[in-house]
This record gives sequence, C-alpha cells and structure tokens, in this order.
Amino acid sequence: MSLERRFKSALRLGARTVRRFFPEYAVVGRFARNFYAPPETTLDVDFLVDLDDAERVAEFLEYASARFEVSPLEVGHWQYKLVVKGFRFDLVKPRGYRYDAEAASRRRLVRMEGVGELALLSPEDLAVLYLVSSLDRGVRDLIKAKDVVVYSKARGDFNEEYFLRKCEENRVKHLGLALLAG
Amino acid sequence: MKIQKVNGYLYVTLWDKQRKRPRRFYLGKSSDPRVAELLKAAAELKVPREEVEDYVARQVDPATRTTKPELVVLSVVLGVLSCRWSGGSRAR
Repeated sequence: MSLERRFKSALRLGARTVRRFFPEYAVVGRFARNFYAPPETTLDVDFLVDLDDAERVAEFLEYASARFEVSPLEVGHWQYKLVVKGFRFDLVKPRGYRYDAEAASRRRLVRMEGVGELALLSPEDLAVLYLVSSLDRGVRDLIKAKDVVVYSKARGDFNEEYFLRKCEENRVKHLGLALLAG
Repeated sequence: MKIQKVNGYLYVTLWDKQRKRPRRFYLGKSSDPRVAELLKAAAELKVPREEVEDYVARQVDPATRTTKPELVVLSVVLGVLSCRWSGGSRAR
C-alpha cells in the first residue's frame, strides 16, 4: 500500500476514534493550517478536544489503548499521542485558549477522498489559537497566524469582525489588531 | 506603533477597528518585553503579494475555496519521507 493510502486509512481510523468520544473535535495545527494557506510539510494531525472532561478521556483511553498505541495512559494531561498504522495523531487542549460552542459551530467540514469528513477549526479561530500559542512559542506561531489571515482573506474567507471578537475573548486583541494593520 | 513605558510597565495604543477609537493595551512589565517584541513582529510581518496570487491561482480548490486536499495530504507524505531520510521516527 502506498504511503498516501496508508496515511488516509490511518487518518480515517484516527478521526473515527476521536469523533466517537469527542464529536465537537476540531482539527488544528499545521494540518488544518494547510487547508487555509500554502501547505508546509508536517508529520502529524492535531485534534482539539475537551480534555477537561475526565470521564470521556478515561473512556477514550480505554477504547483507544485496546486498538492503538496511546500515551500517556492516565487522565489529567493536556496532550495525548495516538499512533495509528505508524502515523501520529495528537489530542490537545492548548492552555490559555477558549474553545467554545460558537467556535465549534463555525468549524469547516472538508471531505477527503479515502478519509471521509473532517471538521477543521475555522480560519478565524485557528488564527486566534496561533496568537494565543505565540505568547508561549514566539514568532513562529505568529507567522502561522499571519499566513492563515492573509491567505484566507485572499480566498474571500475571513471574517475580521468575528476574528477580533475572539481575539478579545482570548486576550490577544492587541496582537490581532497589529496583525491586521501590518 | 509606539510602545510606552510607564512606571516599569509597557503599554501600546492601537486603533481598535471594532470600537472605532484608539485603545490602550497593557503589555506586561518592562523587565519582560516578550509581548512587546511579539507585537512589533506582528505589525512587521508581510506576505509577498505574488505568493498570495500564486496560491489562489494554483493551489486553491474553486469548489471548496480551501487548499486542494491532495496538496494537504502531500504535505504529510513529504513530511514523513523527509523524516525517514533524515533518520527520524515518524511517530516521534
């Protein structure tokens, strides 16, 4: 089986497993960014999920660990690694970022041949998430936020008003304004 | 954009597009200028217009208005191959 087909098969399985326990999940990170800007190479797919829900996390760990390689195996972490057919999928809940029902309702559904449907964080929310993470990780995440904003605007797919409101809610409005002004 | 230092704290005043008036933002202590530096970088970042036009013309799927999915899949395949060739582990 080609690497591409193996990845698609792994992603289908990984997404199905995540969706089973976290239906409000959103794909984030570079894989999501690549749908909104010129693709950059990546090794994994990140799923934003509610890792504060200990009961669901415990059920997920029990189910997933019987089928795939999962770590860590205890409840209470902010990131879990799931390895399916040699491909890595991360379940994350980034610190300092508020993922709410409004952001979940604005997810973009993309259909990929051989994978099925995937829910991506919207470009506005993904840019906000990158701004929040840039406070810890620095300029490299700022550049990703800028890419998502600029290329999404060029595609006619970016709501500045919503972006700034979410920036305000996540305490990064100064960065959002500076990014738009630049 | 001018960053002000007042009594050991950093502030910046930016035009708030939503409220249509200037607004002052607190950026932390002057002994820790990381947020101020991030803000300067945010204002200075540029994406060349030709790169944006090339992306829209060649890499966007007109039906979904997102990057063509096959290119997104390729980004993972190339990432994995690149990692293999450099002797890394895919599952890290």
